[in-house]
Amino acid sequence: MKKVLVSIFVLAIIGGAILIFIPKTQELIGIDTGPPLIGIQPYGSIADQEVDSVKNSIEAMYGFEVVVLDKKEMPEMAYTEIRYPRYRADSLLKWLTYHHPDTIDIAVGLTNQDISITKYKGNTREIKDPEWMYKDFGIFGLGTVGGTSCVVSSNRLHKNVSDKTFYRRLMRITCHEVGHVLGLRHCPEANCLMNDANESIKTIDNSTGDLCADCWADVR
Amino acid sequence: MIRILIIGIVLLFGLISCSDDTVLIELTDHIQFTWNNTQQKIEEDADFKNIQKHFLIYRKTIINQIANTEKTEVRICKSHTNITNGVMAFVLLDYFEDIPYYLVFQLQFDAYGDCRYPHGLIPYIAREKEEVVEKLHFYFQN
Ligand SMILES: [Zn+2]
Ligand SMILES: [Zn+2]
Repeated sequence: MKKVLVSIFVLAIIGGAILIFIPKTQELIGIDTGPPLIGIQPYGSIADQEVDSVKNSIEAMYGFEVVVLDKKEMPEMAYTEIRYPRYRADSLLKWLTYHHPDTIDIAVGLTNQDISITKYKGNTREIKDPEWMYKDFGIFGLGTVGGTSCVVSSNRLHKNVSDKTFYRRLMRITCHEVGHVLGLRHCPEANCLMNDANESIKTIDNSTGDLCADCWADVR
Repeated sequence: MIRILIIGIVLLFGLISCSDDTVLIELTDHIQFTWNNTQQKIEEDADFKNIQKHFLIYRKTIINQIANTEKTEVRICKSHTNITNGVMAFVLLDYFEDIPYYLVFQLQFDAYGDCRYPHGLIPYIAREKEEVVEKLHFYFQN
């Protein structure tokens, strides 16, 4: 009887060790398995040059490997006519979460179409005033903290600016959204790329385009 | 002693390799499927293929089943337990239809963690089941 109990004890220890070291279990219990592989999902008629620029900016800023996935049509399910014909960024995030290949860790959707979300008052379910405007509000990008995908739109970045300014804006918006997915929240530091003022075009243009030291320390 | 140890190790390996925890969900006589708690997905077996084949016929019934409050042993992601058959009916529907949550529910679910479902969605479906059924019927009728 004693021998059996000892055997069960030994087996439990071996079992525990195996459970910790097999990859599937590592994933299930959330053990970090190295730097993430980022996949750019280009949509519709987005220019190759914009895709390359987004790829290069993520690689240069975060140093992670980035692959470009096959181009897809804009998902019909995200289309809306609430205020204008455009695409809901929250629906695109859902689409990316459901449809990105298992081989990548983070999906970055990239479109030249206008995208929108609903803006709420703080953490409530009440739409910001004026409701007609914030019910379906145009944005540059959307990503959730610690999620698996984000979406970037180049649609609003073109207006009356040089190519140089356009690509600088695209790089900053992309790195801001990828920053969210990598676990960064909005940062109070005025010059930091994760400052939420970086969601307005003026402050994007005036920003240093880099993360502050605290944000760098928090990149997962 | 060594013999017991070897038999034990073999048994343990066997147990680990086939230890997926699955739950059979029976919504109606024809609409049933198996949820895999370990892999967090619906098993793509004969039941699943049957639903896939007849999905458009079953869709209305699946939506009605969202109001079903029977408890299951299902676990969704790390945070959702006490899952009802109704929530699983929604999970099934969501497998076959790309549902734009805001356009259907007029509520934005945009915060995704390491889960297929955004924060707040599963509790909303469980809590507001009647409203969810109504809004889904409305969406699919138009
Ligand atoms: Zn932000
Ligand atoms: Zn910062």
